[in-house]
Amino acid sequence: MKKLLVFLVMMSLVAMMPMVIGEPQQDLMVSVQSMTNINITPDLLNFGPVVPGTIGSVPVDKNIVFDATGSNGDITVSVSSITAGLFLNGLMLDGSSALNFTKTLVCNIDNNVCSYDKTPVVPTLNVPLGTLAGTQTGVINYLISAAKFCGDDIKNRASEVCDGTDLNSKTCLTEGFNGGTLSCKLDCTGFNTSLCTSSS
Amino acid sequence: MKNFIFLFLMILVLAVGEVKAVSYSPSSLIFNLNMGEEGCQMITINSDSETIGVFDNWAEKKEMEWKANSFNTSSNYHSIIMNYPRIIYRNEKQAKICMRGYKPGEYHGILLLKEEQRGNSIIQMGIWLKARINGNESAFKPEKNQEAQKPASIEIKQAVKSTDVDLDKEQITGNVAANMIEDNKNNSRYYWIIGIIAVLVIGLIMFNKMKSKKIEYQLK
Repeated sequence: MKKLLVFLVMMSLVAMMPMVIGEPQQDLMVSVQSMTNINITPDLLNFGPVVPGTIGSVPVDKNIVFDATGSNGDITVSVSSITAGLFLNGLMLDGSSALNFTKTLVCNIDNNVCSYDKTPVVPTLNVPLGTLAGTQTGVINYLISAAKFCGDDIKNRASEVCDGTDLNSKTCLTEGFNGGTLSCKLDCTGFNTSLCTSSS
Repeated sequence: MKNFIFLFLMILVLAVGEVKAVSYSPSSLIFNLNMGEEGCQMITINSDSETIGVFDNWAEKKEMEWKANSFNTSSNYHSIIMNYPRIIYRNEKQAKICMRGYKPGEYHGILLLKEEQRGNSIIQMGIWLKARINGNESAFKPEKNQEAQKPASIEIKQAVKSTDVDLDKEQITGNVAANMIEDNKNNSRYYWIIGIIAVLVIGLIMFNKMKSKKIEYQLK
């Protein structure tokens, strides 16, 4: 009897040992989010010496490049403001006033990773006659934002089942109900069918 | 003649100086709240700027185009209270953005993260905001309304206090999740240790009883 008892205790100890040391389990979790990444080069746009009445330009290899590598969606780059008088009205980006500049960096999905067109933007500067001689400096203020996102009421991303009022032509009927109002979940991952009705 | 030309020569420098790579996440924040309820979400920023100024602008109407320049209204106009750090320092990679609305409806806005001027350049990062405030305006409590009119500093103190708990419940990411998993592991270990001790104690008691019975039997 004594041997049996010792045996039982020993067996229970052996059985429980791995659980005390640590269960062989692995917990997994991921929080997937959109990422916006931008790199603007060069650091300095130097138009060099320019004679009034002509157009200034930077060396070709110093044109502006917006690189959104590392992002996972379309990115919009726009100019929100420019300080300094001459640049304010004279700076052109790709032939248009810099103040109206907006460029969408489109995510080209390649092997499940976004790649972006890095075509340089050509800056030029109109220097009107009568401009006083001297060195002028200015500042470009850029605004970076996502071009397409959940909440813009357009189903425009692969991850979106719907977006706000854009239900991708789906209705309660197509979702297997008899009527009612279909709506999109706020996170754009699916439909809210709580207002759909079924016939009894 | 040379001197004449020299007079009209200009050195024009447009500095986009020291523009560095910046990144942030997510690209938009969506809040679905009841009237007076506060919701918080985290944003992540990676920037070399020593400080980043944070502010928000809103569209007057939700039908307006999603264009930052068109968003010129303050959150107060929509009875929305925003609560977030006005300055994010370089060592802070994350910031908590909290919102509370007191007028039912859907509102569109943008959260702007403005890098400090480095050299002669400034980069602003825009995070789109969409707020849906649910509820019945007629059920609007006067005291809540008064609360909305309070100075921002008072509101911030209250909100920070209340969101610490909410965020742990809702934002199951990063360290919070890791702590929860570790807690579960620790709990299960405690149960097993207690079980083993209980078995050992019972075994010892039974052994002693049997031993005493054996002695009694031998004495008899």
